[in-house]
Amino acid sequence: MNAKQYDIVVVGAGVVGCAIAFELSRFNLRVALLDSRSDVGSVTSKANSAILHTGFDATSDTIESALVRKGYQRFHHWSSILGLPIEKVGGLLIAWDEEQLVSLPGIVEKAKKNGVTDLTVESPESVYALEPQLSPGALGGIRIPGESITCTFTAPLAFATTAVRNGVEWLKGTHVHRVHKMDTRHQLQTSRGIVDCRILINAAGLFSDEIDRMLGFDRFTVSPRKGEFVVFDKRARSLLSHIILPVPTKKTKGVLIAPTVYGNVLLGPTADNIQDKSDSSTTVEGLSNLMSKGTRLMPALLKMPITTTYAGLRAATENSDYQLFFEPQASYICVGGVRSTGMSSSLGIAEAVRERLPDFGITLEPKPGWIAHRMSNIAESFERPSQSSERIGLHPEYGRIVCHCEQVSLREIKQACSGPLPATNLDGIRRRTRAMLGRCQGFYCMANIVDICSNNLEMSAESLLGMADPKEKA
Amino acid sequence: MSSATHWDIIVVGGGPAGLSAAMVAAKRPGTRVLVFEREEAAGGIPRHCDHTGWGLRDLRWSYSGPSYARRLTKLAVDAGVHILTDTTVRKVESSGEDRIVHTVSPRGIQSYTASAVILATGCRESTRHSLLLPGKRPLGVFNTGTLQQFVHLKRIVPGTVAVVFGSEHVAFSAVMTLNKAGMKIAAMVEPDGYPHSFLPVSWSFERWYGFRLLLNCRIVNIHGNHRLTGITVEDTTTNRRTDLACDTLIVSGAFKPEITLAVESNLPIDPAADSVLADSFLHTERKGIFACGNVLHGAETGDIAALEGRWAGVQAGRYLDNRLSEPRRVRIECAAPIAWISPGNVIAPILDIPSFLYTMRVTRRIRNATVVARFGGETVWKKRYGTLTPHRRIAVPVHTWTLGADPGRNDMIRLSIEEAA
Ligand SMILES: Cc1cc2nc3c(=O)[nH]c(=O)nc-3n(C[C@H](O)[C@H](O)[C@H](O)COP(=O)(O)OP(=O)(O)OC[C@H]3O[C@@H](n4cnc5c(N)ncnc54)[C@H](O)[C@@H]3O)c2cc1C
Ligand SMILES: Cc1cc2nc3c(=O)[nH]c(=O)nc-3n(C[C@H](O)[C@H](O)[C@H](O)COP(=O)(O)OP(=O)(O)OC[C@H]3O[C@@H](n4cnc5c(N)ncnc54)[C@H](O)[C@@H]3O)c2cc1C
Repeated sequence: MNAKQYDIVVVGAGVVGCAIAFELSRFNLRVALLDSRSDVGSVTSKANSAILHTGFDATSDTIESALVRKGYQRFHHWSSILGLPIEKVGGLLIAWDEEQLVSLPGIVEKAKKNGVTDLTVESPESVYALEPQLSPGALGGIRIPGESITCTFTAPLAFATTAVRNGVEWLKGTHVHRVHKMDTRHQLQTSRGIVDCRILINAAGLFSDEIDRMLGFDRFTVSPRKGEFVVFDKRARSLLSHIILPVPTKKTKGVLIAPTVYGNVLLGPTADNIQDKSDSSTTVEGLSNLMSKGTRLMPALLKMPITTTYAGLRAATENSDYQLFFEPQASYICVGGVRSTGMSSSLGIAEAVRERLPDFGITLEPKPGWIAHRMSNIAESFERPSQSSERIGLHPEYGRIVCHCEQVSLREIKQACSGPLPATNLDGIRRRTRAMLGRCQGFYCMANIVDICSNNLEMSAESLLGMADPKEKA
Repeated sequence: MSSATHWDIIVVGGGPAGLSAAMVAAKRPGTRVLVFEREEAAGGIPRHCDHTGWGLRDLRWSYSGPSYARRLTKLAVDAGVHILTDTTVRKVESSGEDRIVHTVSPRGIQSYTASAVILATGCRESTRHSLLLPGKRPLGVFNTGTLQQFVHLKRIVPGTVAVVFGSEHVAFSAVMTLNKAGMKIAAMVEPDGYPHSFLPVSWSFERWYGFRLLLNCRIVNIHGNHRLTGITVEDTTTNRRTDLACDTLIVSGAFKPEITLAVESNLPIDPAADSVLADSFLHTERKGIFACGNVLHGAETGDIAALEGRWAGVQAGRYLDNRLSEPRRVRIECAAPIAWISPGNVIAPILDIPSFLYTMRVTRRIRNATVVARFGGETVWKKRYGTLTPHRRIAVPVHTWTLGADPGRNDMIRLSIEEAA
């Protein structure tokens, strides 16, 4: 079998790998983006708090703080071009006891060091004026105007779609088992044969330590830290306007309440160290902890119906910073241990990688004719296709609503089945359109959507339902 | 207003309730009635509920679900009702004497006006997530309604071995659908210590279909990375955990009114039932907007929904005749363990209202219950019931109550249960 040959292979198509592929697609290079899964953004990058962090609370002088800051700015910049929805709702960090209250000025100072200078300390009165539904007992707070919410599904898709449209090869369902060094090149032994490249970029998230070891290093171990979430009905959205944050501890940013760009409200995440890197289950204990924590923070929220629950795993390591290593000798870049800020920092990481490529003997020539792919909007506060008379006029199927709770049209479902990066399973349809993610979680539309997809993807209804062994592991 | 977009009555939702309301309303001479239905065909839930027993109380015949849906559609069309399918109603607003109904469909974004609007958007089941069933999120976890749509509307068999969660009537309907699709039933799991459907039903189903009803069992884990591989249940009396292998989990019942449109339209909601708040005339608290069927309560059977629809159709007609006088509404407040009563309001004095109209639910099983209604300190009604079971219809004969002609302002009727020791 002839090996495929590339200048650069990015292992892992989470938001970080996708952002790197996006960045590299702008230059004349042969690049492949590779993942064991059949779709991008289907591991940690789909299950987070969806907050675009300013980096105000990052530990100063870390790689993380610099890259979150950079990533935040670049995300804002690219959002209007790629159609990434952002709502700058602002954060409100609450002090619930004296100890937390006295720590507030320190947080403002630290934010300044991190380049976030617009924080304001708020009195209890102004905290309640900003968030009247908050439980009584807040002693004060800090407002962080720049904290924003975005769509965690759209981000990796937007980056990867643009990358693929500009020539990056997407090697889906390709699991890396081993890496061999052959002269100056890497030979990746994968579930789909040999992939050959000059430079390997490790963006394998929870498995970044394993890839790092395949390259002969032994310097960090990923210990997954689970975060569970509860998402409340859209009726809860009017209860709050900010992302409501606790005072962070060393271990975690703590349980927050945040609006989502779909118009829901999210409560979470928990933080539990676990062993199994594939254990993304919610638990009896986790959910009941969240419910009681939520009741203490905002009782009215807990009276609202629950739309969904989920869990994500942070790629925590024994070190408190990102595991970013540039190894020109080994033709290898490691972007591991990107724990709890990776969506915010992704474009910052991508830029940092690009800036170092000349050290690896890569000449960066801009690619003529590069185009940014604009995503179809799935967020609530921007126009959706089925809200536009003009678009329905052109394509009547934009007016045929299939998912009633989230108002997703037939044409959007069909589009998710086609294009440069089509969905490969029902989760892919969910992430591209929001279908089946609303109040009824598919009660009304799932059978219909499976039927539509089996006619528009080369997949039977049975394999869409995970019954017949699908060709690749989803 | 152009006649193409102005109607006397617009009905939202073409299920048993909406079709029945439309049919009755269209019999009023000269009344133009339009039904909006967001699916490709009218009929509602019975379209995919392929077993018999539909239509007993309204059409006095036992139909299969699909034939009941077709029959009601035909009756409405024969009465002169216009039905527009593939059309979603997004919002209903009021402007003076007109209701404005905002729709989207392949024809575009269009607004229609009507003198009266009847909401009949039905109900759905609770999801796995809203019930906080923990675990992974594999494929193969569906509600009964989705299972029925796969099997009866799409001819797709969505699994091989199923566990059914819940034991209301609909859980047994799920068993029938699973059986029809050739799927095996591994078990039925119920967190309470008794089945919520009738004992003879669960007893005979267990034997006939060969599965076990596991009482006092809750789901503590759902397994499978891609497709469901099994669940873990815990016996709450012994804390013993057992793994059940299955590739399908049917989450049944715990019905929720489909109030999305009502919420978007800012209609008052009854928080206890999470349903649209209406009165004895099925008039909501917004003038000219009526509601009927399971958007009022989750869930009554199809024939009750249809009878409610007829009642709403008649009342909407009286509204057009200006014969629905400014009502004196009295709210009925429920004390635990009563979950809710629907409709949530009563018109005083109580006139000629149908006996099926008021229904309530309890949150736990109660033996020898006596239900009491108090108004202004006085007991206005009291009735001994036998055993009350959650999720089961409890008819409340409000039509027999006597309420003074002039209920005091701001007062409400308090409904409570006295338990025999
Ligand atoms: C609970 C929680 C809350 C969070 N909240 C936020 C937030 O609000 N804001 C924010 O910015 N960040 C947040 N994060 C962090 C953010 O989600 C992560 O930092 C980010 O998703 C990491 O992306 P990644 O690309 O590094 O990893 P991943 O998304 O895990 O992607 C790694 C990819 O590598 C692939 N892979 C692994 N091994 C192999 C192999 N051997 N062969 C082929 N492919 C392989 C995997 O299949 C996977 O697709 C949160 C995280 C969690 C868990
Ligand atoms: C899974 C399931 C199984 C059931 N099984 C039985 C059974 O076996 N026997 C029985 O008697 N009862 C059963 N029921 C109860 C059922 O709700 C009633 O029988 C009956 O269907 C209620 O009638 P309805 O008209 O109120 O609502 P539905 O039948 O639900 O009809 C509502 C209609 O409104 C439409 N609609 C909703 N919103 C909009 C909108 N915004 N715009 C346009 N159209 C809209 C819907 O598409 C739907 O067609 C079941 C219910 C469920 C959920």
